[in-house]
Amino acid sequence: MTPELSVVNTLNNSSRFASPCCAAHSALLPVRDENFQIKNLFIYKQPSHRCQILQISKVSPKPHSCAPPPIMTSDTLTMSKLGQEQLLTETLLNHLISKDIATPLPHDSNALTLQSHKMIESALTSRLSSTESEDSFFVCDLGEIKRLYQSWRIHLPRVKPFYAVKCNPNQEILKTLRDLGLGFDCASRSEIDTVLSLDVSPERILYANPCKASSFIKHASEVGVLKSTFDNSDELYKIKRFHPNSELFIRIATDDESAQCRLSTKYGCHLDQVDSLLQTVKELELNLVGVAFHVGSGASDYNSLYKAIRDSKYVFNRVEEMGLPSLKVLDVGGGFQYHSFVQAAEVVNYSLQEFFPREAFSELQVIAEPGRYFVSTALTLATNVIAKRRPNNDNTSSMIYVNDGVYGNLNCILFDHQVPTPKILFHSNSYHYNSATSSDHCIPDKIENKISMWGPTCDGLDCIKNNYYLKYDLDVGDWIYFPNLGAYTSTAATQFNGFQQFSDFIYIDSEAAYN
Amino acid sequence: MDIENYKSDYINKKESRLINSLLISNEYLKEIIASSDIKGISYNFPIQNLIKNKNKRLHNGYGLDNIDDDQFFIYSLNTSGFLDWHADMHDDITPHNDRSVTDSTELDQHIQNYWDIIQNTECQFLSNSQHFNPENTINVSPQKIMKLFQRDTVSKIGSLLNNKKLDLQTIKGLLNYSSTSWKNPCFNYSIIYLPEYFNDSLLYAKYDSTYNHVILPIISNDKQIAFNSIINNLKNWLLCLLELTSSSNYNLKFLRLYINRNSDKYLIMTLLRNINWINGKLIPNENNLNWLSSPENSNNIHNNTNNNDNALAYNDENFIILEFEC
Ligand SMILES: Cc1ncc(COP(=O)(O)O)c(C=O)c1O
Repeated sequence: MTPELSVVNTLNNSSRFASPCCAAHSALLPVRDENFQIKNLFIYKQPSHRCQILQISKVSPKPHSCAPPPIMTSDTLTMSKLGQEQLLTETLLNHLISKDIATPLPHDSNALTLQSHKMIESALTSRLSSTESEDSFFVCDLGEIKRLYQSWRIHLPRVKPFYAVKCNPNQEILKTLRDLGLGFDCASRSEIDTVLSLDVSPERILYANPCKASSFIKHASEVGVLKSTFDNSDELYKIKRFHPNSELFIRIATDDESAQCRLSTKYGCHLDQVDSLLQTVKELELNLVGVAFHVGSGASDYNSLYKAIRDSKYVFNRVEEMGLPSLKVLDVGGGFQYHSFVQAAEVVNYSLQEFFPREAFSELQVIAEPGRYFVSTALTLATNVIAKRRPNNDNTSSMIYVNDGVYGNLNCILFDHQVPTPKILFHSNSYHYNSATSSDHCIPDKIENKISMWGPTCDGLDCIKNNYYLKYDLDVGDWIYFPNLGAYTSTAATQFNGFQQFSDFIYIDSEAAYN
Repeated sequence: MDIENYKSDYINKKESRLINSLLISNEYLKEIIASSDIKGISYNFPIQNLIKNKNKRLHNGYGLDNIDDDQFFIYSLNTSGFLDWHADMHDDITPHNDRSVTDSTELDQHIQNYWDIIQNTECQFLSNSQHFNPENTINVSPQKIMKLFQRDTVSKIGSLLNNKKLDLQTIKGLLNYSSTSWKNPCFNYSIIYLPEYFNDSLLYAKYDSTYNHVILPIISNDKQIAFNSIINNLKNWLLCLLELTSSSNYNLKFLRLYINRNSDKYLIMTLLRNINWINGKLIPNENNLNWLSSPENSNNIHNNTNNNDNALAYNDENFIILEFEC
């Protein structure tokens, strides 16, 4: 008895998207029950725990299982019709959480994700029990990356991802993505060199640095990387001079009102500059192949995606009207977030269908430059408490110093506006992984110990957390962990004066283990 | 007056003199600056130019063939249609080496400029040691500290230059030496003038064979510097510095940018948030690592006295340091 359900997209109803920013309070929840491996079941969670089942890609029995009857079986799932709203009770949600099937993401109780907490916990604890080392380290679940790629293929079947290497250039992550067949978006010559050294062919690389010195362009030419973006005529002249065979993407600016990293979208030309840039392309006889944009990371207003795809169509039209060869590629950029991915994907699909319908654009290649989507939830950082001070000389608050900070693996705080959540991993000889109440920055009356958390330098910038509450009064030697810390973190390996910020990794693969 | 204010006065005075002597008093350059086609000017020199006597330079092993003279570079549209740095060979600004060395007033003026540039660069790393260790220097006045600093700088540069034992091989080795650190004097110093973004404030730089250490002026709302223009034109001025650092005359691998912490906080945070995607990397300050291992000493560890005189302390903590690959 193997109920095989095919992929059904219940959201093909375009009337839902009269206003593409309608998708709020929703989340992606891949669920596995204990008897059956259920992959890619996505539940659309709305306020008051109303859920809508969107897709079930595959349900198959898990062999040799003698677990007790699960609360949510494949039968109950198949019985609830796809697309039907279903009340997911508080009890059921709690059950999923307690069974480690789902976990609320920090700071967003509406978001749920499946992560292999048991494996992450075991990797963390066995490391701590097997070594005296106090260095911080990451646990990286390559299986999570594979699951995310599966979700990508289901939700954005038309779009080929080029992973933004800058987001986390760790080699094992790059190799995993390479083996899954992704392309790579590189922003520097060392990123290009790293990716090429992994036997990735230059055709799979897009050079998307928005600030290219001549030396960068010469290097791209030397190593045969052809695809690159531009947004001004100065760059076109440089490309003409140093790399005239480039396959160029004109990058257009986007509306980024709601993005977490707004200025990353400062780059890109405005629509009123498009004609003159196209004219220069024509005069210089350069090879323009596509349009690119980036709506900014963490954008919550999907209107910007919709508008950017609409604006891209405008450029496609202008290219035709100006007698340039037709464009072949549309690059929808990065910024996809785990907890809002389904909605963003819906908007992309809907907008593509509206402006670049498959029927009329069957040859069009659509690509994207996702970074954080693929790595945020795949990494957990563990770090050691190396000092503690009581600034007021009493027990009311303490300054906790850990051995990693903004100059190390937590540079995402400065560079990416991230607000990492420290949680207690080890205190008083016991482990506290995944305890929902070990920290909370909003309920001080329940959680007693007010702290600020600092990195190992004596630099005011090196502040990890302020006005924060922990359940236990930490001591030197205790361990803290930061879940979901894969994006824009391990990039700062800096050799300095004999001090090297190594990023130490423990790799697990929950997919391989599960299968 | 505390040392910080005294220092900033000291830098400003020298800076006005430099701008006047190098840029404004020269009719040709004045014209160039007025032209909107020119986006930037840089002036650089090797420290060997401090030796007045050409013969002595040769004698010391500084074969002139191996040494660049001081030079002006201009950032403007090139014939290929993009902004690029190129040496300006106009007669009115050719280096003094090519002229008769007997023109001694002019030579003195040059030498004075060199020292001003070196001191304005190095002095930015001079810290207020009293701040960190009050007992140490309580009686030393800012004037005295600056005097000591001048003497110290002259002696450091002098010992690089006057080492009679240096043969050509060693010199070549030294010229190729590279240091990630702001601490060491470099073989080349420069000023960069980008009026469109930084108004009349100069950027000071020193470099060896790998790193170009560029110090941005303090950027704050109350200063004359066009604050918004710096944020909005981040890409343009950064590109200009990247092009300079990787240009054939410099041919360096990395640009290190020193952003003064007294600059506006909003600006600093905005810069940091944008810099990731254009490949900036945050570099920790040198002295404040691992300070927690001896917390009771944390008042002292900032002192990094390089000479016998306890009054002088150098450190990089005035700056947030970013590194860019070129
Ligand atoms: C041009 C471009 N592409 C892709 C990305 C990756 O963004 P994210 O990691 O949010 O997907 C960025 C991030 O700044 C970017 O600037």
